[in-house]
Amino acid sequence: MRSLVALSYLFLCVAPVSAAPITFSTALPVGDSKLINREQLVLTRSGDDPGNTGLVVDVSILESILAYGASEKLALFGVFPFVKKELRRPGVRRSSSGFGDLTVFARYTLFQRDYIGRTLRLAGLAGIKAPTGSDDDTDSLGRLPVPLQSGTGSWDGFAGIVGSYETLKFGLHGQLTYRRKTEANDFEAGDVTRLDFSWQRRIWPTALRSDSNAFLYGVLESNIVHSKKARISGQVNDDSGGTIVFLTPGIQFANKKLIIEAAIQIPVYQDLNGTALENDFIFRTGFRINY
Amino acid sequence: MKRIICIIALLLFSGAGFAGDQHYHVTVGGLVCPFCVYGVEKKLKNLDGVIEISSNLEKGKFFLRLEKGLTLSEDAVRELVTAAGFTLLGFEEVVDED
Repeated sequence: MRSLVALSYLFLCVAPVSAAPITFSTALPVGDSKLINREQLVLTRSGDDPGNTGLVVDVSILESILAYGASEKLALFGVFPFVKKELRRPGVRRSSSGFGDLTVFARYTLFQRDYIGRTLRLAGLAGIKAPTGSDDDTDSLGRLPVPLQSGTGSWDGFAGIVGSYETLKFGLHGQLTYRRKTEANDFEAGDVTRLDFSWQRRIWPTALRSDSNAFLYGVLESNIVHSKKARISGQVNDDSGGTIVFLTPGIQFANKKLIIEAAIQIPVYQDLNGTALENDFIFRTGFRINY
Repeated sequence: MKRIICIIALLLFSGAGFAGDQHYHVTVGGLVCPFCVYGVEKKLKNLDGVIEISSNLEKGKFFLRLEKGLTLSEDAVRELVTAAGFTLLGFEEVVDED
């Protein structure tokens, strides 16, 4: 059940759409009638097993994200994940793959102050995750456990607020979100509260020229993810939920039409309930295209 | 000899073309990366008669060249810049000295 904390976390890391944070959203604009596509590969390994059973869970997600500007302030997002999960322990190997749950959400700019070469923005966001992924996959051992299914089977809603202050030299971003989980298949994952920070620094070019049309950023982010305990058949599962703090170094290249980025989320603090599998790392890489 | 004539003709024609065109400088607030610049450029290209757009990200400036005889209104530019998600801070028609 513990890996649910990390998995829940993954589906909140959606759709940054500018030269902006890699692991969460931004308040920077999409633009009226504009389309941005982001493709991101997310690799997660959870193999730090306090029970010394040799348990390892690998999750690979390919996220296709489309952002559309409904107006200059309102942006709509769709997140379409393809998920592959594998559990290994001595003598046991179980896996699944397929399309995961679809997430749609909207972001509205609440505050905006623009100056030459810098901007300050605040936006609210809210959305739902629909149970479009398969949640009844089986293998030779029977039905796969909930964390190994491609989909969760539940309708989840989330809301939050994101702020961005960005200049030509550096950017600061912060986001607070709350995700409400609902019950499906006699299982209800714990609600997730998440607080994210990002600091970016332009490292190339060191000095801007009139024809500078490409930037390279060094990125450092921090993600604090707290998950409540899950419920199975209405009973609280004491081996679920907890808090993970990630420190996330990364790098990002941006020109007019393309952003290429990579980051690794390193868990520097894990206070998970019970005795369960802890996260080893989350690696993210991908690109964004400006249409 | 032919080459020299061609070069002279090219210079004369291109010079005449630039001299007759309308030029504008548009200053936009909130541009913080090349990705943002593209969004504004794409909107400004929708304006009638725009032949060429170039930009200076550090100064937040766009330089527009329009076909001869056409003009831009500040309101039209403001509308497009706002639609791109940014703020128009300056609008200036550049008078040719030729």
